[in-house]
Amino acid sequence: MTSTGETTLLRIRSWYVTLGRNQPIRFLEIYWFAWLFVVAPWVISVNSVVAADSRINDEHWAFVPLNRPSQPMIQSVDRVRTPIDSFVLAKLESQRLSYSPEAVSTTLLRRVFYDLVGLPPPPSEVDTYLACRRPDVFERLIDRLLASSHFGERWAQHWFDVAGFLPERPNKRHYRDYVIGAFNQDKPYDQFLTEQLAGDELVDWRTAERFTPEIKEMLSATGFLLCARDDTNQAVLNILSNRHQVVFDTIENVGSSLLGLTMQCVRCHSHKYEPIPQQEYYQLMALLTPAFNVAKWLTRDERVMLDVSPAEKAKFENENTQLDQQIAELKKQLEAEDQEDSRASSVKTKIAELEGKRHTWSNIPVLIDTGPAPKTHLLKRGNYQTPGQEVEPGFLSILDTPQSEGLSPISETVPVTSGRRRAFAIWLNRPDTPANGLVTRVQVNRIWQHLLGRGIVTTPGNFGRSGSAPTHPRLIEWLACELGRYAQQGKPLIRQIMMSTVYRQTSSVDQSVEVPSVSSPESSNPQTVDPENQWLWRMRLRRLESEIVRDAILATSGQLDHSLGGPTVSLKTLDNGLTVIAPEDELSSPADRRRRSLYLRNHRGGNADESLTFLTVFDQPVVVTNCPCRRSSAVVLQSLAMLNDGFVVEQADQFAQRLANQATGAKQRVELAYRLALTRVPTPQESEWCVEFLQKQQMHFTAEQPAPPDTTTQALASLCRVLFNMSNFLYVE
Amino acid sequence: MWNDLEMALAIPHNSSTINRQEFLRRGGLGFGALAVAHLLDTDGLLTGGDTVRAHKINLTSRPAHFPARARAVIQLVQTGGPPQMDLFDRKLELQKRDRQVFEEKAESFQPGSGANQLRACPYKFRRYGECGMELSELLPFTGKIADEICLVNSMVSVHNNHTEAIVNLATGKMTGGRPTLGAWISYALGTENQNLPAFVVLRPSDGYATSGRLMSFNGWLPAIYGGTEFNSQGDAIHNLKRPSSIPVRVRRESFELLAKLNERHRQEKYPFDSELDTRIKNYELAARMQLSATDVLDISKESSATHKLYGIDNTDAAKGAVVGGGTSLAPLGYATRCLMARRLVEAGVRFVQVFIGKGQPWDLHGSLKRLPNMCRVSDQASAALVTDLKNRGLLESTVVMWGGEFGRLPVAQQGVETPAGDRGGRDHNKYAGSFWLAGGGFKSGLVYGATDDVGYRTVDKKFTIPDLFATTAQSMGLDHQAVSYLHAGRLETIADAETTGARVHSELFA
Repeated sequence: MTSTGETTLLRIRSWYVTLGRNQPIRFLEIYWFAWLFVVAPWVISVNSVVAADSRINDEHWAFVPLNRPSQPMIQSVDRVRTPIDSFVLAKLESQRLSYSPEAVSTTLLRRVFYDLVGLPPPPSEVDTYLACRRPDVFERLIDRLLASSHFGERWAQHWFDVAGFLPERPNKRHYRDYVIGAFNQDKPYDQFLTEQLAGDELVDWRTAERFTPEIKEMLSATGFLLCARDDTNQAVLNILSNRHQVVFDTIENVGSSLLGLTMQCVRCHSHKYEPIPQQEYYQLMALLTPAFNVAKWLTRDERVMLDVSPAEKAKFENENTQLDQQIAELKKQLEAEDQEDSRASSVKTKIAELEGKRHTWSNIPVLIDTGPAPKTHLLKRGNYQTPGQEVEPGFLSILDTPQSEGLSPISETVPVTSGRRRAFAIWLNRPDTPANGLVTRVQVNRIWQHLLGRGIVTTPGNFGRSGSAPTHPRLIEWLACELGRYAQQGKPLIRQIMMSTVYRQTSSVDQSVEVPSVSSPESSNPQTVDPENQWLWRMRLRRLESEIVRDAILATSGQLDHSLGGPTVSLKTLDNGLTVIAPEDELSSPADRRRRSLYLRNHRGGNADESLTFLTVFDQPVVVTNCPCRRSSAVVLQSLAMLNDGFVVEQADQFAQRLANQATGAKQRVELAYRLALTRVPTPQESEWCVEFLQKQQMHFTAEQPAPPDTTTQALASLCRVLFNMSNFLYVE
Repeated sequence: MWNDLEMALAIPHNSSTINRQEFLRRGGLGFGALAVAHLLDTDGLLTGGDTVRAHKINLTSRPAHFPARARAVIQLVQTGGPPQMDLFDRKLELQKRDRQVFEEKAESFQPGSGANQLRACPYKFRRYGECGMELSELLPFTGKIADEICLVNSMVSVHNNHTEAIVNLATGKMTGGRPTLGAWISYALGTENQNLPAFVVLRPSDGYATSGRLMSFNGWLPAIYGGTEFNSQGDAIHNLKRPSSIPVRVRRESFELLAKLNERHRQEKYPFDSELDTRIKNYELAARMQLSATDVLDISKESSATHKLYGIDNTDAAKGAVVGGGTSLAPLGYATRCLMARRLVEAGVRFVQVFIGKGQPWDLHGSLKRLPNMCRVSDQASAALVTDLKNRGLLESTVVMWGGEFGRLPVAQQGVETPAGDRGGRDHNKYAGSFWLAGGGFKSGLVYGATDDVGYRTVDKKFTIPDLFATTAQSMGLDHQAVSYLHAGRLETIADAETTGARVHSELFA
């Protein structure tokens, strides 16, 4: 169908919708359309004339309300598992392509594990999975992993990139743990956004007798707005230009993360590519100025709140004093006792018990309105020294609707706050508005990107006219509507995508077999037609992200500490410039060295000697504002790190020890090594090569002067280092 | 110097001398294949200003737009803001009006300049070279190369805070995220030696300059164009050396097995995947790089006369210049880095960035008492680099640029660190500053641009950082407006002349 015809169809459909028929088009209605096309072809020509100069032509696809598309008719119906497949297949068939075969079970299992929890599957899980004969075994696996607490860790990292969040300081753990929790609870996306923009305006913490877990959670959520670089805690940098820069960066983060719009240039002049006047930048800024008041500035160290209410604090201090007195008395008693006495040990136990009862509290970084809303001015050329007219808070007109209530629905329950951020959140999330359409499309595109390796829109931070057009426009619309149908919960959508045939395809290119196509005998060679695989005729081969490379090594060696949350792990830069995890005496626990990478300290662009070198080598992004799309490179420094870095060498030794303990015989150990590192058994030839390798390696170690103590394990460690360097290890197939 | 990696791969070698031809001969495979040859829909290359064409992301050397004067750049980054009126821009009026209140309110960054009282330069100026260039007595070595340098006294910045101004110095704009000059040049021209990165960063081993990795960031250009850090102390490249616990034979056989397993995986499943292919070749490259980089950065191969020229053994220089806070100057570091820079350029590296120290060492707020020490650290090594390049016939084909992110104010600043009886130091000044260029076809012995009577504002031939980028590109044979990259729907260029108004100062060329 021509694009004009398609437009016509869509518009007829939207007309249907306006008549209250918000239903998919039914079979009989097709006749009606057919009549329209046959009998009244002039409609199309009239329409195209109208379209040429009407505002519809100006409507950018991303700036209109969501409109649930019908499922396209396709030929390879046998490959359709979910409606998603019909959208993808429609595009493929138009290129005379089709899906590749399904990936083998173990490959699929590994893919699902990395995508949902960011860790390789343990061999026992693989065995259970392969042994299970239930038809819904794959579905059950997905459900189980979606329910795992490691799901939150994996998907929080994705969100941290989007938000521009870095665990620069210990107190940043509150926001970090909030996000992990939000993903684990599957908070509806609209709620998730609202809490992050205005958590402080959702609960009445000001008069609360006690800070409930909910209050603490809502306050922690506002850490989203504290992700921008802020150096104003240094007295010499606490100047107007820097204060403004914090607000500008925050607006840019919000623009690209939530709205998929680049806001940087609107600060100085009306947007050259998007229909955003400069004034509207400052309208958005006015939503934030009651909290970010440049005239009455709070430094980042002052934007904190105790995680207990004043009343609680007083009560706790009182209780602590009493406990301290009791402890002091017991200690006095202890001095009098014989140290070896059993009575003494019971006193010690009592002291420890009392000390455990002492209350502690800590600071949560929070963004709250700091006083009456100041006046906000447009800044000419983006310069704070040349203020222009005063600007009232407001939203972006291109995404607004006549029905918008603007700033009116402000919370009455919390009178001391302006409610502007909350009103913004409500505006973003009102169903069937252009704003909500855009917000939802941006989010589902990211989910797709994390699972399929590339977004439907390949510029995930730019959905405007200057961004790239969607490869599958109707699919993104469908996914966005599905998120709405799932009450904004991400897990069911992730599940639906993973259940689709498109996700379950093999990523490999089989040269010997032509890609089968049921429909079209003269099917094209996908490698020629679509070498970049933009139409998804196979699964994309994806390199593990930097954090996951490290986590995978730790999981494979058996050393990974699986605990959730907790203090941020400190780093240290050595004399040779390498930044590594701090020595054990500087850590809160020795196990910190083995924690997942998202708990490691990281630092914004600036003095980046505070980022772990191993991760930066593997493309951990240099975050300036935020990072909507990671890039993966294959530079030689990565090979050098995997060959020689102390961390890899140490973990290979641990991995070897694990193999030596859990299996006997070279062949069995090779097999276990493959299962742990690559989620598969070696081919007979690989097995033969590796066994032979182990024998020779052991001979070399034995011949060393002096020979190391355990040459068998040394040889195994060599094999483990080879496995860590395999492409098969670094990539999710 | 046979090492395990070479043995494993049987790569012929000759480590006794290193020169460009040698490196080129050894090449053949390497960074050219490093590319991840895929482009996002909206990001792509336009170069030469003609038609959009798919760009293979690689570092192979490519032709310039027109005959180039220079083929390499060495950027000597003097973070902190050297005081131009005390070193390069002699102001007789300032000397006369010492202690008078400046009629214009000088725009200061920190507190302490409120008195707005002019502060004369406490040091003498001398005429140097045949050109008679006036420079401070604190720069005797720079004086010796006066006839080789082109002094620009009309640099302007965009911001008077370090972070913004340093990002501007690195990228031409103060908002972070753009590619740096080194990344643009590597992108446009690739590099001559495929065994070494195109853009090498020599930073102090104890930390980064202010703004850290942003100084050598690829921005939205593909990652291979970003700077690769080499260390001036300890290992030149992280993880280049095999751990001593792994014997040579063990490593060699591991390589053989790894190559077999990886190649089999690629051939059977991903025969067309260039990234996997690159990854396999990287292990061979790692071997060659181990040789190349270790050799090229091994300054012990240089004569004692050369060591003396750079002042590498002059341990006293840095001592008095060491400052607290986030700033430091590891003794010996800068001179070593300058010498390494020469060796890298000689070996065919396109762009070398050398940092004076960690943080912002030239930041002389409350007192000028550190100035002589700072000069001792920077002066001899920077000048030696120019002399050394000249002696080897490399100066004409290399742009050497020396400068910081901004200049300093003509008025005195009193601060917490001001000793009793000290007249104080100087606060940041975005309106004027000095910079010098050498080689690359620049006119030598020229003093370009001028400031007002006291050195507060540039009044003639204003020279911005984007101008510096455009002019450097010109020297490299590149039309700065034609080296472009499509980013987020906008055609970006080296200096973004459309918004910055960048222009080539062709008067600077001989």
